[in-house]
Amino acid sequence: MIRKIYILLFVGAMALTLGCEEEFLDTVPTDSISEESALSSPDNMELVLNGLHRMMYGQNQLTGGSSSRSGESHFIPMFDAVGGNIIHSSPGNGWMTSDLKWQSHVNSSATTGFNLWFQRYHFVATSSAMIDKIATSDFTVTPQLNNILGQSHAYRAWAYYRLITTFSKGYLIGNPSTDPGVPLQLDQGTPYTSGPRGTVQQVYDQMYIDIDKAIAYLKEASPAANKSHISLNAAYGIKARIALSMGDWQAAAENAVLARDGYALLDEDGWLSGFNSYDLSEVIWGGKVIDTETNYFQSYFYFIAFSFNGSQNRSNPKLISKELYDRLPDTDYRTKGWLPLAPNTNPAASNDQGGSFESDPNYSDKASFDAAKAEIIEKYGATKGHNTHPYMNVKFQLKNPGSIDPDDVIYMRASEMVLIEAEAKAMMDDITEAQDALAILGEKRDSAFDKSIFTTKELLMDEIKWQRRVELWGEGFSYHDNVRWDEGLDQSNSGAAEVLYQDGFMQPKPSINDKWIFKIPQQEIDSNPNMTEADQN
Amino acid sequence: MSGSDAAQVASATIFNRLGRNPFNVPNDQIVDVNGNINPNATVIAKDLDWYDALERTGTRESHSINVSGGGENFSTFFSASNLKEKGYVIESDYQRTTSRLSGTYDPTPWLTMGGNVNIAVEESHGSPSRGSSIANVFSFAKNMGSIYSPYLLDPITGQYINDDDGNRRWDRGESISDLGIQSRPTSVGRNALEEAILNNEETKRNNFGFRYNADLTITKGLKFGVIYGKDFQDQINHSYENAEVGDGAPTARFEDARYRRTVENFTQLLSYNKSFGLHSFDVTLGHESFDRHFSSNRIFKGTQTVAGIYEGSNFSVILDADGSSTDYKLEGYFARLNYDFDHRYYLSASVRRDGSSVFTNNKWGTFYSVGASWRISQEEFMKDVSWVDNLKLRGSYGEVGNDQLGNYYISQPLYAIYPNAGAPGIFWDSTGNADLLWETSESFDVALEFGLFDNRLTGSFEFYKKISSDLLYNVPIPGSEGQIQAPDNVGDLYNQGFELGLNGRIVDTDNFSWDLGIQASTLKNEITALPDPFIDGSKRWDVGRSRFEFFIYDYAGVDPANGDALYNMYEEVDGKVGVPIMNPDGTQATTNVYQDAGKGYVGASSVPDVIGSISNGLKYKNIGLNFLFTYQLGGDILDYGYANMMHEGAYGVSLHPDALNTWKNPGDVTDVPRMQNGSSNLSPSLTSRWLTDASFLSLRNVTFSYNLNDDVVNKIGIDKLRLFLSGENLFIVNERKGLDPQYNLSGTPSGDDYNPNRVISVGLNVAF
Repeated sequence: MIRKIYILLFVGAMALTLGCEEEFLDTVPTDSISEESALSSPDNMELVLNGLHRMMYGQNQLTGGSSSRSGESHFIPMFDAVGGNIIHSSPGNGWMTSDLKWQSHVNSSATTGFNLWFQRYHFVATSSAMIDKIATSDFTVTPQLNNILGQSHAYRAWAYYRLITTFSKGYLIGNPSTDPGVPLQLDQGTPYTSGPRGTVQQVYDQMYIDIDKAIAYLKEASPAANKSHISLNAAYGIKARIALSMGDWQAAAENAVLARDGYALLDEDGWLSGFNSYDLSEVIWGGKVIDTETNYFQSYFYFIAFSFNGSQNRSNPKLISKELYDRLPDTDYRTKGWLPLAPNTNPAASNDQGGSFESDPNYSDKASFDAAKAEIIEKYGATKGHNTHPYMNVKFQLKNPGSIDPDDVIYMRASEMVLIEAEAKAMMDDITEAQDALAILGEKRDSAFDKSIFTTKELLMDEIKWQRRVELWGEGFSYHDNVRWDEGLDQSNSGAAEVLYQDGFMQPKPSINDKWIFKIPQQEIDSNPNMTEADQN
Repeated sequence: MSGSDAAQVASATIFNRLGRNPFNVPNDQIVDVNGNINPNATVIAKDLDWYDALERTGTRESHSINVSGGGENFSTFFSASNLKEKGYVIESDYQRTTSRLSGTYDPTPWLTMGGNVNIAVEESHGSPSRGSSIANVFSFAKNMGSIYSPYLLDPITGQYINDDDGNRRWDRGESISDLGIQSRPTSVGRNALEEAILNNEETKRNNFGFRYNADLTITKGLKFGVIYGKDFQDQINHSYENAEVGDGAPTARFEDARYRRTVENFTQLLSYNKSFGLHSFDVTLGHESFDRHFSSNRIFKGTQTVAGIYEGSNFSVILDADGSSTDYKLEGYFARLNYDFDHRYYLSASVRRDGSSVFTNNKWGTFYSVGASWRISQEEFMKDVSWVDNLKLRGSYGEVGNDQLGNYYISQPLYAIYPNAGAPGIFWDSTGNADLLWETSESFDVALEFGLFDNRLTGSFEFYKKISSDLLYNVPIPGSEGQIQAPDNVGDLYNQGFELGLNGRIVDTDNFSWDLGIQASTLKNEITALPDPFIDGSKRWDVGRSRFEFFIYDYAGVDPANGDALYNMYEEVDGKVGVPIMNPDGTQATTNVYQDAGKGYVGASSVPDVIGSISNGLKYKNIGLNFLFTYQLGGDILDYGYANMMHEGAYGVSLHPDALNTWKNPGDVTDVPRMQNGSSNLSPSLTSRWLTDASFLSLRNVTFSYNLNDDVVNKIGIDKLRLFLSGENLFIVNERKGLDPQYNLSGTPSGDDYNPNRVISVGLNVAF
């Protein structure tokens, strides 16, 4: 009897614990939230936008991507390596040498091209998800909602701008109505078949639709929380860039003016402060990087700044082209942004003039050679292990020189808008207005600037091209500028070493040279049923 | 520049490109204009051996003890062991102590209770393999050109340069003007070996768990049982990266990562067994649940205060800090029936229903199995066949479910946390797939087992076929979708083959015996259903193909005229990929631009024809000698490790001796293209050029042992005493030295990881 009672008690107790609750198998993670919840309210969509803002500059988080391709922190200096604007003085530790040698972007398996494609399409997908969700929901229209829609459309336009200008033939040098574009992929989800390449024109049409919507929404929106968000001004700036790239000069000029409204050009102190903060007056759009979100050795300043304390920087100071620099008049304070007489201290410098006063033609004794180096180290806060090189840049300086601490990334500033305006006016043969626009920047930088000497479209364009390459040095514009202007590469008088630059030393102009089109990533060709090898550039 | 000028400049500036001159000749006279080493050059560099600096003779010590005891109503068991290993790579060691105590008690005739507790404590130090990081000591040593020393050498004398304390200084590859040293073209500012020494990597892990069970006999044959167990794993990982060299420079950084994993299992069983006449059967009904909880946190800080303290508080800037948990749960109900008739015919059948938290809309799956066996040797008609001891025919069909695809939340579309300058943010992290369901593995096998001639020859011969239906896979999707993979039940495939096992006692005398065992098995893989073919790395999945077939660029050798690497061309025609493009003369068209060639099936697969082992056991009186060979015949490897050493001429990177066969002059006939720095068409990695026969024969283990005579050991109060000397991984014969053909089934070793190490051990077994 006792035994039966035991058994009953035992089995009964078991039965209680045994009957698992319904929800036993429902589990959720703690470091992620569901897509449904992410898109469930305007407040949550603001979180999604914040994620995009971070992805603009942060180490790559996407599954299957490479963390080192840290958004614009990587792509800005990469475009200037391929475009020949940032000149490397030695192979350094190897970063971006395949870009400057023109080995990477012509290779469909290259890590950089793939990650650029993947990240920008991720922006397209995420912004489309928000746009579509809002279209099918009945959220109350508020300034907040307009802000979300405005930024989503702006991001989509900007991402396509990055894609189409990089992976397709330049609008102004090709036949946009027939040249293959990039897939217009505005729908989400299964069966993940993406789309065909379509035409360049189709993508430009979509970019205009999106950026016009963005501007309309942002006019009725709550203001941008900070400069990492896309403000109305930044949206005008994006429109100005798109318009410039397709030769819609009127729109380019108008939007460039609207974009820089309220963003005063830097003065000398500001210009020489190192371009390390998005708080600078003329920054319209940029990423703020804080200690706890540092990109370590995958940051913008790692790829560009002299005094960052990485082996890349110590062994490979980045140079401006001699040709560009030597055209700077003494009255222009930007002469202080580069050091033409810095001693060539690196025995492995690619121009074979490094190591000592004996190899460096600028010096004839050890004492002055050593003193010159010591002075630079002292002034710009580098370490003894840092090498210096003629024409090295100090345009970019760390807030905390000699460290690996993070600095901000600037995506858009007023000077670029001034130059867009000037270029657009010049292309419209409006000499007077082009001169005026150019003078806004020129007079700010050069105390002896005389706009009146640029009397023709050709003279204006020559000056504008030079100004862009100097003013915007290292800010990621040179590659696409060359495509727009149909100019090839010739590093013969730049100071770049042919032994290092190889294919990147000399390239015919883009209209006759399809190497000015990045290869479509092999991953896309392999997995997109609407594409075959025949669709490769 | 003309050709001769270029050669002149190239030979004069070779030192500027490479940065080191290990010879006793001036920097501009190392090679002549034809690239030949100066005949007067001899190596004066003191030390160019990275492996010597990286490796050492490791040691392993292990001790164990087992004790069991008991009485009429109970039994107990206790064991403890200790293992201490010093790795063959510098700075690496491992220690593990385990203990286990178990007991079973029968307080009444109808109740049995018991349980066990076990503890394992592990501690390890040393640089982790680190994958593709520069700090990977294996790839660092392997990729470093052989003119570079791990240590700083005087450029004039080639002797070590010592620091003030008289220790050698490591060469970080950066220029040191004071010493006249210029930078190395490869891995500047790094020395993975020095980093491994200056860094501090420590992992401590505790595993402990318990298991309790109770069995109640309700009536004769009817039993109710419960088993409950819980296992814990706690780990603390401290990773310090030094301030001198590497990613921790210039201020040092430190990570403290910890986790606790708990796994809880609870099973209830109701079973009944009954025999009548020649029939006997048992039935079991059961329910089980599984609950895994994993909780981790990590801090990552920079800027150390003082050297030598590897704790978070010693670092002043927080770089990262986070923590999260994951849950994974399973629940299952099952029923099982076993039946046997006269110990001749056996039947079994089971059905189970499993639920998994991995899935969203399809949590539950149902799986069946049936099996039968026939012990032919028990039949009347076999009674007189005296040389057959055992003969059994068995067959079974069974299904099991698989819910694993690398992530416990794979079916959920998720946004992961990702703040922007401190403002909370999230990003789209995964596509999810709410319709994902259990993958089913259906196994069918039929086998004949036998024991003949007094069991001197035993063995089995088996055919198996394993069908995976609704295969779980992260399918590559186009990057223009914003993600590049999406989980799906992609299709069906099968693996099938034969397995043969034979064990024979070839010689059997009083003093001498020889046992020989042979194992062999085959594998065939074929995809039978797949709605959309896809390319994944070096393979392409398609119906009628094996998932292990290589789909890559097809190397067609070297153009003797200019040394270009040539590739056979393929195209896609009407959706059919890999169609050869033919020349008018009927040969396949080739190109020297590999990405224009298109990929094709190159007739190679990573699956071997046969894989198996051969074991031998020899015994003479008290002396035993055992040795085990493993082998593989057929199958190919895409040897990325070799490809990396057959590059087109990256300055300073090591080369394989095969690079000596490189094309040099027009007319040269060779299979190694010319070398030209920066020419990416000469040795891309995804080509058939690196396919390497994976066949091998390896001596896995040899053990030589000596058992002391019983009368001798009894005198000293013990039952048994055995001395042994054994060796593992003593040699391997294969296509290429240094290659580990068993690295992975996909046949794609990168050559930068631990290889199986050679271990020689001596030991002693004692029984009381």
